Amino acid sequence: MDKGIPELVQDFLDGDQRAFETLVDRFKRKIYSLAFQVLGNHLDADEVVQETFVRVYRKRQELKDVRYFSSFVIRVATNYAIDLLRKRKGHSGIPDDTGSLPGEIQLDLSRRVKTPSEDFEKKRLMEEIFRALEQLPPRQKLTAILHDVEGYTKSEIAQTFDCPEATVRSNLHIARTKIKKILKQRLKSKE
Amino acid sequence: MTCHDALTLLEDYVDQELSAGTEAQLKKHFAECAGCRREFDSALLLKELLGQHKPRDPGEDYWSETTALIRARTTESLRQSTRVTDITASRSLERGAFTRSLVSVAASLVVLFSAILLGTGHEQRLARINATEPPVYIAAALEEVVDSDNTVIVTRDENERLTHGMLLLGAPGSIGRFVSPMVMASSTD
Repeated sequence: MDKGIPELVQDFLDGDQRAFETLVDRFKRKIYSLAFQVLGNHLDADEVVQETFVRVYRKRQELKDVRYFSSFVIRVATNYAIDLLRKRKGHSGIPDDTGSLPGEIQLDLSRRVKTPSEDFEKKRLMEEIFRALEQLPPRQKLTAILHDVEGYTKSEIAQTFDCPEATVRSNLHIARTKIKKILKQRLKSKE
Repeated sequence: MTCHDALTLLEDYVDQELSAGTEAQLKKHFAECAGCRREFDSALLLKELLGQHKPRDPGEDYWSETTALIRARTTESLRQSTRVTDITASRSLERGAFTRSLVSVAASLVVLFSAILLGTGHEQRLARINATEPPVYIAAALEEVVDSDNTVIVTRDENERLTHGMLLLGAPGSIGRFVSPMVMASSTD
């Protein structure tokens, strides 16, 4: 039977390298997805994935409770992603060729897409969303991505950022309002 | 429920965090207010679009390579920390060796200075001895083994041994004295 995260984390803290590798397997896709959405390209996302796990390995003694491992990993990843984001400031992360790069943003909107012109419209809309996200300050951007894209709860995000849940709620509201403002015309035109 | 109340609760509704009772009141309001209904539709669509903003998985080849890189980097990290321990231990050993060397040098210096001090006291001791038993300068048979100024004095037995080709070795000041047979004879007379 597969071990749960807390058991694996305890084994990892006790020096079990295989437990660490299992944890990498369980979290790598989440970290990649988060990093890709924050930074907008595969190379940076790849760097975040590797660096996150290397840092988690080195900083494992800082983990106070095995139950908070997920928040610990996400915090390490978001901190590194924010650092990279600041370094890359001014450089648009929107991929030029969305059709061939690994990690390309999925435009699978088949549920709504009926015709090539609608497909094109959806693609443009997703690009607008990406641009709108790009304009947000790092903390708001990460809050929106963690909550609305990755599906983390407000309480988990608060634990990750070590802040009150009210702050997460407020950041999320500001982020959504800004994105909505940018997209308003497009969303209205869909009615 | 007013429009203000509805718009305040809108995001919690989209996030499905409202109680069943509040949700029912909100739905009722949306059914009656087209403006709020539009806001709700926009918020829902935005959340839906954001939820689809996921990157495509880069594939198993990428993940095997990346996992191997992480494994290599963390193993290297482990090796580095072991290496640091080794270096610390090796430096500790070096420090021990250095301390031992210092002790050896100090001990050698103590022996050297003791020897010098004993050596410098030699003449005084000889003078003290000679005051009661005047030295006899050693004859030709001993010239080869005594100092050129003939100040070194040996005992009769030592002289006999030396004259028979025996080598005399000892620390400074340990060399004895030689009393002439004539002096000894005269003193016994």
